[in-house]
Amino acid sequence: MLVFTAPFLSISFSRITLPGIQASNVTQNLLPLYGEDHSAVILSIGNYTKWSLNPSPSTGAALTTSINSLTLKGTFPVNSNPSAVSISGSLVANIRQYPILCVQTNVSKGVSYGIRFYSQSSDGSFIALWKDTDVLNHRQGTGQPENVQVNMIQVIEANTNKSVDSLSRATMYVERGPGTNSIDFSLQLSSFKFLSYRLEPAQSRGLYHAIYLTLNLTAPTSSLLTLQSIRVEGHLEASTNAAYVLYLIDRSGVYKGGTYTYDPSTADQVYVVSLREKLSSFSDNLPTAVPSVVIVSASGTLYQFNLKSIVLNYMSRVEQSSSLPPSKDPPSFYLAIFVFLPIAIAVLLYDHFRRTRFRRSVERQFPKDLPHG
Amino acid sequence: MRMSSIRHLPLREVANSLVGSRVIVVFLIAAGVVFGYRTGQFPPIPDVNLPVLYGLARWDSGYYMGIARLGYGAFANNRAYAFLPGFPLILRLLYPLFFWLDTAPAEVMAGFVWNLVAVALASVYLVRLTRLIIGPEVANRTLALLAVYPSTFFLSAIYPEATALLLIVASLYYLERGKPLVAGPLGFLAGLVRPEGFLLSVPIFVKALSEKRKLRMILASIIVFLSALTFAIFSYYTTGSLFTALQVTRAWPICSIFCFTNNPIFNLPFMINLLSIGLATLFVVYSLVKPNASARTFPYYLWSFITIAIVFYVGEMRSWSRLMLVLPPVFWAQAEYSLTHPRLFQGLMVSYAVMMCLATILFVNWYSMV
Repeated sequence: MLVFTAPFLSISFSRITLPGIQASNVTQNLLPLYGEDHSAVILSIGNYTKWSLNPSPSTGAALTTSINSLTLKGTFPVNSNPSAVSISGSLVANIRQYPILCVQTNVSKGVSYGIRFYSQSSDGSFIALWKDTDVLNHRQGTGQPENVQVNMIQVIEANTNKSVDSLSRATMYVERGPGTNSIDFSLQLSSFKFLSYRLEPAQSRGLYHAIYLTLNLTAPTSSLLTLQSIRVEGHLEASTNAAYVLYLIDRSGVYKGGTYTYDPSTADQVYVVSLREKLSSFSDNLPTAVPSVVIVSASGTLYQFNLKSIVLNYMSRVEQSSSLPPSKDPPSFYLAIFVFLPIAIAVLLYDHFRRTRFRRSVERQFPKDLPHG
Repeated sequence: MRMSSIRHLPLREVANSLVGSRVIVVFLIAAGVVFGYRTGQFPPIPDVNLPVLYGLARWDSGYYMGIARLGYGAFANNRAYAFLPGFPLILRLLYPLFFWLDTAPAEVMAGFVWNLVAVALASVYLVRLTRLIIGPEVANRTLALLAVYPSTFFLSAIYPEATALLLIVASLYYLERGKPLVAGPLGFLAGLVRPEGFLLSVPIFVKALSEKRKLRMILASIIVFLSALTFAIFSYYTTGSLFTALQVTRAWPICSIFCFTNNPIFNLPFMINLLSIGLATLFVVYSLVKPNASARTFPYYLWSFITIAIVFYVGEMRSWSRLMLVLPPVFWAQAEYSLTHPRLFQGLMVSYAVMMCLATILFVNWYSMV
């Protein structure tokens, strides 16, 4: 009896949190919904004739510009060192007003490219706002038209830990690593602009590019609890065949959820965004507070989101209890395993051999009557 | 009747309730996949691209499949050492046979087919063993109870329970047939499939104490015990510590009985496991202490008692029911008692069957039947 009842002696310990997923329904903590207006105000950095090729004698690159487009072509010769060619242009972009950079480009395969921005200090010198590891640098050329859309406030704050109001200069470059063959390259720039999506309340039906579900939460008190995923249940109304993507924005970063296509026949739908696919940038306005789930339209227009519930799933790594000793096992564990269990085994064995001996002695005396066991 | 060899396996011996229950298990898995209610949480491992049967690969399956594919270095912090190599080795050997599938689906297919074979062979050995030491009526009831036991789906899932059960019952069968030197290596292999497998040395040793041919039985007992040492030596050569498996297992975030007593949660997975181990303990203890207890079955009930006690203290509570699967005496005790209490047998069958349906659907949908 004692072998199996010992754990119940420890019932007086304080409550503990089970290891594993802890679900927390935070629907009540949702702030009023807001969204991005479906149409953006555009600041176009047109007239590419102001862009110029930076000196790079070995590549034989040629820059062709017009008001509406820019093409950079050339050849990287055989070289045991990395090679690069760059172009630069001056611009004036207030990123507080127009925070979203939107670039349409086509860079040939086999080379990489990047975009770098600078602001200007009061003495006229340029301050670099880029980092080699940010999302705008060392991107692989695909040989196909490509849209790059990022929130510049987020990128610059991540790079410099500073808040910058405007950009004064941009550089684009094409590069390759050491190579034993020469390689032709081209970079076409067909659009270079900054966008501003106005934020507005989204509690009623409207036309939205993105809808924000922001939670008013304090961080979990225990450092042993880490946010694993967020589960949103609700009904989205959108234009026919609209495609949309869910993002979770937390203190630790931006995480991408699934891509969905609007289906008017679906009632409430469950969306789960986990903290697995971390992105280094976000394509739209940052939410006013975190954590937030953002539903962003990839095509079409969002009309309304009717929320049913939001549940945060935290992972508790270990049992949490101040009463349990560091070894996790209370004294009754050792008592049961090292005292009660061996005693029980010894008693059972003693009884078994006592019965066996008795049975054998009876068998010797009355060999015919003893049943076989 | 020649029982010493599995070569002359009559088809009617394989056509039994345990093998038949695999159809129900697959049906339940299919039903769980199609109609199941998801937890809404991101699954710990992605689903395998294999229609319906992907529901067999849940929780620890990912570790077994990872070890089969990439070896013990596949997981960070030596976590793979919490799992023994027997079952992953079988997956490794068999999955290339399903060459038209990608690796992960091929592993699931290999595990599923192997488990079917293992269950079939285990059922034959279990019936023969039970007939030999208790009687034919108990043998049939034992299989029936195992067929509907709440965790019986683990015998088909990508888990090592079917392999462990086969090796354990085969080992005990040859032990009872007076072939301890066949029983020993089979028990050794069982110890390389499930961590508690090495405890099979206990009944062999206790049996040796009251047998005439002591030396061969003690040798068999030592061979079985060596399985624990073998894996420890393997971990020493690969990680530099003999105790890696022990350390990883103890560091694993589990919900133990202490966890439960301090914070009782009365949801289905906990209740199913609590009920399973409760009944197992009750019947095994009764079989040990009842006045007319058989001397022949005593070593096996003692072994089960020790294993249950250890599992009760160090095992994940939501795995208790699964851990009972490889202990035939748990089923013997219930089958034996129900011979004189037919209503109880019916009650057990119905209760277990209901719990089995629920547990299977919970497992398929990533609820914590682990």
